[in-house]
Amino acid sequence: MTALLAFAVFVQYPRERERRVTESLKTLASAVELRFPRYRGGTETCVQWSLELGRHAGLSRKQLKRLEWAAWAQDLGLCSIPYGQLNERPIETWSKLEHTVYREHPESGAAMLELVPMLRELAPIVRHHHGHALDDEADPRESSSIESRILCLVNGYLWHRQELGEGIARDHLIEQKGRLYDASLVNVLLEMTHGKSTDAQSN
Amino acid sequence: MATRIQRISPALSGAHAVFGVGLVASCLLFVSLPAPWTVPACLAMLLYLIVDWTIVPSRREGLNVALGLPFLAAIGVEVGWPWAVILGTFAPALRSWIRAWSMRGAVHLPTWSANLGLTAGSLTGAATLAHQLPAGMSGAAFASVAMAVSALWALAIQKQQVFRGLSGIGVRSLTVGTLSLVAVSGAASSHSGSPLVLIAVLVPLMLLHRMLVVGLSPRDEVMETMGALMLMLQRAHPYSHGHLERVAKMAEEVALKLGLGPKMARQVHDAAILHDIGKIAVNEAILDKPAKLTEEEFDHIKRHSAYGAEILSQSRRFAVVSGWVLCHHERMDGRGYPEGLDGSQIPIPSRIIAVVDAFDAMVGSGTKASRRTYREPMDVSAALAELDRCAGTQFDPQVVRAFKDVVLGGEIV
Repeated sequence: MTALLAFAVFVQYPRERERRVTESLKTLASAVELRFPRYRGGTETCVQWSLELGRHAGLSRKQLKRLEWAAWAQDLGLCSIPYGQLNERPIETWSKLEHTVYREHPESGAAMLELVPMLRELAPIVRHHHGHALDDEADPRESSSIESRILCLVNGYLWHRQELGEGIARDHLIEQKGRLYDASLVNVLLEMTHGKSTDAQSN
Repeated sequence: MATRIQRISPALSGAHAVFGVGLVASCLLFVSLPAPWTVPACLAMLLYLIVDWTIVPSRREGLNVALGLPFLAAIGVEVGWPWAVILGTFAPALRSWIRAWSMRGAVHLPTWSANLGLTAGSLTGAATLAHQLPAGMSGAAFASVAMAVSALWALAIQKQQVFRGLSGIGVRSLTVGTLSLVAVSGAASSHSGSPLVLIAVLVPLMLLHRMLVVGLSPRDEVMETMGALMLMLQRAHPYSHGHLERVAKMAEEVALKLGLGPKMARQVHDAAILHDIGKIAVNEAILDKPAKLTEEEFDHIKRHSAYGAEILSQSRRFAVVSGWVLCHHERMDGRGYPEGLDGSQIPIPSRIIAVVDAFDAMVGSGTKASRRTYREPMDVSAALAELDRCAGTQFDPQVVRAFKDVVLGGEIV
């Protein structure tokens, strides 16, 4: 009886809870992606890359779970941005105010998460998920967790890869290693992507 | 008060069953203690109850479950009934002070005093009765009287707040009560065994406590997910502030009036809170446009029910609700959207939400911030007349009747 109870309390319930929280976050992320179709599928890609990088970087199971959840939740703050700004007008035409509104989306998302008890622990990670790539005065190595630094790196890498190609994305990582991005994480990601690009070439 | 039940979540039934079985098992081990160990064991148990917050709160459902009653009965049988009354009265009172202190809050003195008085009264009555009975029956009698008074008190409070039907709560109270009584009967009837049994009792008890705490969390998580979605919607469309809460409250009342039952009414409430969640994906410039919409713009807005269903389909917990959200703009005459379903094909919760949503859109909250831009708010009687006019074509006449009963009966403030 005690063993069954212990199994339920320490194994089954935590697993169930993790599944439920993940589903909740996917629900929230899908709302953002429906509002801004340009991000459709982007969150899931970021989740997968972040988890892989996290595993390669030796994160614990608990850290990986937190990283996964933060990756799903990272762009909740985008729903504060006017529909037309992101869907109907290119970035080049944005006003200074619109750029500011966009740059505040990590803070906006973190503020929302702080209001939800079960997601509150994700708020600091989401707050810094763009590190100082969008805020030159902040130093991500001092103010952000390993999970934030991973998200920051993966977001930067995926954006450059999608917009400018794999080679330029890798060059960008090397160039910003130790500046925008955590140097040790960049090394891990470069190793990961090197393996992948080699596989792709041989295929 | 050992057990205070205001409303029990359906999700608790399973946890209760396991809790009950575990409790019986624990107490059967407990009864095998030799006589000199029984008193320290009872005290250790009570200490644990006090220190580890054995009362398990579910903030959303207003439920508290305590594991202490059987052990209080054992104290009565073994040490004396006055001790059971004293411990049973002051342990929860002390605990509420410590809890308030640990959360940097303050105890609400009138409530605290009322609880203290009622607990002392019910336990004294139960102890007096138990004292008159033979030892074999006294523990069970004590627990059953204390349980009954607690349950009746909780039901009275709840009925005063809003009537939710007694059947479900009563049955579950009895289930918990019966299981506790079985445990008490066992605990009070035997005194033999080994001191090591103490550990064997404490460990399952702590696990049970933890299990109840964790087992209660799914409903909280649903509420928090809904809260997060509402926050997102309100960021995207600030006018929705207040509208969702009002529609949800009214929809739940209408569901109860239609006899759908407390569980279904709760789901209707959830669906109503989330019915406009798809508007996150709608251009607010169109939604708030003061002029008449073009056909293209109206088509864009009409997609929100399908968007809402798509968002909610990501979670298994919202599987039922997402179907209702999808249909909340369907009409009885089949001219609604997105599917153009007619009367019998539209789920009743969707029909309820359609009526309540239309009413709230017509009436609004009266505050400028929540007014829709394209029309002035109507008064209640004009809005009800409009619902009447559209009954049978746009709305389900039965739902309209129930809604009018709710509004005119003053069940919504």
